[in-house]
Amino acid sequence: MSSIASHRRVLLLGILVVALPIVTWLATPRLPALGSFRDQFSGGSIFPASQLPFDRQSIGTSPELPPWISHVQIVDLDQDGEADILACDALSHRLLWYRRNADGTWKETPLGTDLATPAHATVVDLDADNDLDILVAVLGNAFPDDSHVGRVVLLENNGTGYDRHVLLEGTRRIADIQAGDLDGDGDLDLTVAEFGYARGRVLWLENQGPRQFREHELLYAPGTINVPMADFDGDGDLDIAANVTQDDEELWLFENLGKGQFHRRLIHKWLNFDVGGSGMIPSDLDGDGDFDLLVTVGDNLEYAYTFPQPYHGCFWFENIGEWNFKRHRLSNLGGTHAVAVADLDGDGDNDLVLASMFNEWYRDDTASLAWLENDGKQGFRKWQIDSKPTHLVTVAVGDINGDGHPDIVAGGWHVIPPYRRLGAVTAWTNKNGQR
Amino acid sequence: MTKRATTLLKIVLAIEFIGLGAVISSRLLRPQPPWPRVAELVDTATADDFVQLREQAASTDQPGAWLALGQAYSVHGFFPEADLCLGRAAALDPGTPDHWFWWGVTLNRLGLTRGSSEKLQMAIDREHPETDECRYIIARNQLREDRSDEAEATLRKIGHNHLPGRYLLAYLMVHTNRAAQALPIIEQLADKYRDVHRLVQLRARAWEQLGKSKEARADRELADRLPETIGTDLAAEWLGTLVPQFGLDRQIANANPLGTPRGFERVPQRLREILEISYRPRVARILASLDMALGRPQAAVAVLEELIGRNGEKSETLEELARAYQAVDRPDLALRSRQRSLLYRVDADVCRRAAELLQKLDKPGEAAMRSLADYANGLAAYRNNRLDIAVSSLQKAIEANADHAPTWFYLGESLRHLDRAKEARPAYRRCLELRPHHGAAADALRRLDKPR
Repeated sequence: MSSIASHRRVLLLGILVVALPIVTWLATPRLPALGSFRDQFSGGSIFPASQLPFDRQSIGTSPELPPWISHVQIVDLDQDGEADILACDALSHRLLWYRRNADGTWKETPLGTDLATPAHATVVDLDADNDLDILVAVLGNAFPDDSHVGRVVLLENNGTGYDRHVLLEGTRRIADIQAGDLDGDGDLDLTVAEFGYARGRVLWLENQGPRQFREHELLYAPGTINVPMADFDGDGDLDIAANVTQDDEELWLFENLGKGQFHRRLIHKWLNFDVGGSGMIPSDLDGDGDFDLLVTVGDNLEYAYTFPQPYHGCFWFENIGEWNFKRHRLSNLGGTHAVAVADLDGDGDNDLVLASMFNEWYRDDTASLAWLENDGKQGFRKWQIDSKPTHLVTVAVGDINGDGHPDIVAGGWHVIPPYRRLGAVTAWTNKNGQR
Repeated sequence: MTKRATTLLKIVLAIEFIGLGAVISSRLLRPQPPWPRVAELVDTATADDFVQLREQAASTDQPGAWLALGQAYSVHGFFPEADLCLGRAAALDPGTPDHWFWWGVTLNRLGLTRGSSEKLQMAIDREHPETDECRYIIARNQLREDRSDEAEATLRKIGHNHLPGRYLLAYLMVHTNRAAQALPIIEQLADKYRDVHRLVQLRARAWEQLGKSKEARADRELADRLPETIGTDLAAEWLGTLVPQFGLDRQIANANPLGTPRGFERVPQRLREILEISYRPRVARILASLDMALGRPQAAVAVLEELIGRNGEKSETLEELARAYQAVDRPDLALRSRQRSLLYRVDADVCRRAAELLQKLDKPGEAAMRSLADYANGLAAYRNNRLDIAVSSLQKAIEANADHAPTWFYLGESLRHLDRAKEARPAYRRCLELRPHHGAAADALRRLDKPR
């Protein structure tokens, strides 16, 4: 009996010895994965929610397609005492003028059509007839293109509408135009950023009579996006700044020597090929009476695969005299594409508004619009205003509702996924008085 | 005997328990593949692909499966998730250089440059076939960290046949005020790659630094006429090679083999299905051209009109629409579409076809349009440094229309660069008669008239 039991035990053990690996072999692939990875990296920029309240409002009709707004500005175009909004729509190739209705909604009026990807509009009384004309920088193509598709277009205010004139053609893509009297002869000359793609130039156009401009080359370099004018050395004439952002990532200043002569100075260069210069404005940020430069870096448009980078953000180039500028990094907002200056909180100093085109948009909480609160000594605290719409490339500040507080308007260029949280022209009204 | 067998079996069983227990626990503890929270934002075909690749990685835990999932995530911009997957592939099979390479490329896009360089170095150590590419991306990482000296040292290890690497080395030297040292490298490259504008542009910068303004100007002008470039964003280029391997893009790529004589008819249907999944302008344009090739111009008109409605007007799309209108016998609409195309870009072929339509519709402007076609031809030849062709096209354009200032300007430029200054002068002068404020023409003329 015991012998039979022993044999049974051996048999059972034998079966187990054979079966166990087989069962394990069969079952193992079906076992669920219960482990987890270390923490997943997240590179998006998120800041504390702004304590200064803002109300978001879409301007114009809601976009059905991913919008391509390349530039917005707040300006009293019809000089009726109320601020309007002017936007360049690179998808429909139009310039859009928004006027505020009494109920707070906005009326959209196309001003210029067939503008072949307008990049920037500059409002100025070019012909000195006491109304505002519009200079439009025409890219010709939103995508990399080295051919001669750019134009400088003038929409001349005739009192009842706008007459269209081409001031310069046969150039590569034009990204920016600014106006000012550069040669001291009392009329307005122009600076032009011929962005191009692999080739481009910085030009100034000498006003030689009604709608007649002679071009002069200041710099041969592809990828210039901004050519603002300001008196950087305080000698009473306008100098020119240029933000070069393609093969070279450089900031240039052109000192006005008078009589149409300029001396060029390289004030900063990044050896980081990827830095992605995206914007520049002159501003007396520290209120010391001279013009500084605010520069944003965060352009990833050359990449199909974008992600906010640690070196992105906003820099203040403090004018310390004698054509020297001291660099300060003010923010690390990923994909920063534009900056505007205003005293948002009404405490008497200059705050900054930053717009991001390339934050981590697969997340819902990353900042698309932020403001930097100035402590009065150019120390800045970062606040997140909003996380939508995403892909903001342009921002402007001004009082759009006449309540005395500076509001914000920004434009979205949705050319890279994800295509959600879309927005064309969006305003954030400043509710500082209601804090 | 039975007792000994029992003991032996018990020992075997115990060993099995320990061994298999370890297998089961390691199996249970393997990490779950990450899932992007917003994965549904991609099209449904790609999302389905993600699901399959994820299941494969989860069930097999094989390095190849993790690599594929990581690459798919990377291609669609889900870099944090790709980082985890590619890290797992490298951990499971550290001997395969590709795992480290793709991990390094992904970390590069995430901005984790130190990690990226480490992984790419691991790929180099494991004899990855693209060692120079790895080193180039490492150098770019070092530049992003403001470590230009280290970047230069890395670039010096790159083989002399790697154009982007050698270019970047020369670029760094020029931009750190060592133009004289950089020039031999640039010259060597420019000798080998004669049509690359970036090299000549960099050489112009080097001449400028050395105070040789005449040489700098000559090189700037030459750079303006050279058609080739150097691709410098290698990390993105490598990611680009993966695009056709996943999701909807794979379906688009697979639609091409359908285009055999027997399968040709099926392609438009497949492309329409793809457009239903996710609207892609590129696919719409392929579909329209297939519809045209298959003799269905009305369908092509519908596709192209929708494309313009969704994606705005582009010169190429407008020209394709014009061809489709012509095929459905709407020359009036074709002409309008072509004229709109010319608002965006002056193209010789579009001008020629527009001229034919003007003639057919008995409308004025045919000669001017043909002249514009010759101008566009001349300008294209000029931009490609084919100066003889440029001269003959521009002269032909002038025969039909002698009042177009840009034609005279580029004729002057072409002749000047051919060292035919005597003929160039009157061309510039005529340009200035037509447009007295043409600065470039005035400058060129001034330089020609300046005593040498």
